[in-house]
Amino acid sequence: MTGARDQPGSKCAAMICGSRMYIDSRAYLGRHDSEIVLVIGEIETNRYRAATMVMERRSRHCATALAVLALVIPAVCSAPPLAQSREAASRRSYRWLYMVGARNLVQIDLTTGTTRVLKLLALGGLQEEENCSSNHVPPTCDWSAEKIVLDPQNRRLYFAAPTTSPGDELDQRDDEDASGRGPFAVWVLDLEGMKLLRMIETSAPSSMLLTADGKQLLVSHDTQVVDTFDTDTFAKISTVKNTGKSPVDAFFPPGSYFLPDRKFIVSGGVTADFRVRIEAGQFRQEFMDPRTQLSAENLKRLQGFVHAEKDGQKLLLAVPVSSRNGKTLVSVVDEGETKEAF
Amino acid sequence: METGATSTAAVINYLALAQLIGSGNEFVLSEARYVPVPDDLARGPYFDNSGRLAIYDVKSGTMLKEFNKPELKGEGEFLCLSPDGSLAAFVRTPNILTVNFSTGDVKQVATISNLQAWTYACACGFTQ
Repeated sequence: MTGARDQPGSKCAAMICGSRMYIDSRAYLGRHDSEIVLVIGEIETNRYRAATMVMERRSRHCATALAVLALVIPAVCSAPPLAQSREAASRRSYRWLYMVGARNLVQIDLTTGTTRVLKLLALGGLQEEENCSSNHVPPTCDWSAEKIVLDPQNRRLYFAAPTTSPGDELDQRDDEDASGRGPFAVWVLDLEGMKLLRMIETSAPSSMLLTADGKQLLVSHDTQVVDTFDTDTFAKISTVKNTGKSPVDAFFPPGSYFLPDRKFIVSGGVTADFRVRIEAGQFRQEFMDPRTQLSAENLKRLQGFVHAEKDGQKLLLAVPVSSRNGKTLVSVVDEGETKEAF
Repeated sequence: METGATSTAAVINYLALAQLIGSGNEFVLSEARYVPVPDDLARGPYFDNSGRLAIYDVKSGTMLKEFNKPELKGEGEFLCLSPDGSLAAFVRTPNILTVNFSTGDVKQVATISNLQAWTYACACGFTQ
């Protein structure tokens, strides 16, 4: 749909389906000029249904559109509301559930219940050496996936892990982070083909985060350096470093996510209460206590969630417990641990 | 988020695990008791669920729906939501369940022997 280029106005409104529904006053030209999209509203639920019609370019006037619509009304009236049918369709079609741990990937087929537990090491073509079960084990046996990011939408899995097999003896020059676990990389797995797509060499990251569309992967190191990678080409797009004048303050705790405009990273973690603002290529933390923005009436409801200190009453610690679509649910528990507020 | 609109949604007389669901206009509370287990470092603390789920409206704080689900009773936790926020994966060792917040239906989708938190707890997601 190219947008509201042709708006016939309110004269287009008409009651249909036994007055249960109406044609919205908006009608849009479709992707092609010969296509017109009419928006039909259901009075009771205020939900919309849409009808697309193909007609001659010259006949894209409201009256003609309504006349043509009369032909498709029976089908439109009996169809479920657009939002409802989309919701039902998406609910029906979840086939896979993935769960990822430090060494394993669990794949569950929700239609059959078939479950596969796969070793991440094996998916990367590595295997554990025998000396990891001996009495004297080398530090490389401490192999685990870290900073795991799952992208169900694009069926990708990203995690940071050493690139050497557990049990390998390393030269000192191979030991980039001095932990003895060897050189690190961001592993990229394709969940559809269950194969390794790429290892992006990097030092051990402190956190990783995907943009909402999965197109860019942010890898932060010691909260002072942020590398951004293109997830199609795996090329590094940018590196932001602490210059002293412009401190980088980027740590993305588990549960963090981007708002679609890529302006903010919202923390949904259980240990932090901040968001990261991205502005002019810089990352800056903003600490927040949402209760500072509560109305007096709402604040009154939290009276049971205070404790007395020498300098007066103070609200108890509030913890973000869940984030979704730019909203963050914050919880506070009373001192007796019998009540909770959200 | 930019506007920072904030309100107190609900005050309840029990402790709960909470999660925003759907498009973020509702949240679900799973009534639970926190069990610290101080003498067993290997096991760590956990939540003992009563099986009661309550769904609230974020804006008004009104309870919209309530389900009592014996299948969720005991030690367990929500792992992740489906992209549309209608379905959640719930682990109740050794079983993996899905919970449909519209209907309250709980379905056991898998049983995994030797299921331990470190084998699954880092990330989770539904795909089509």
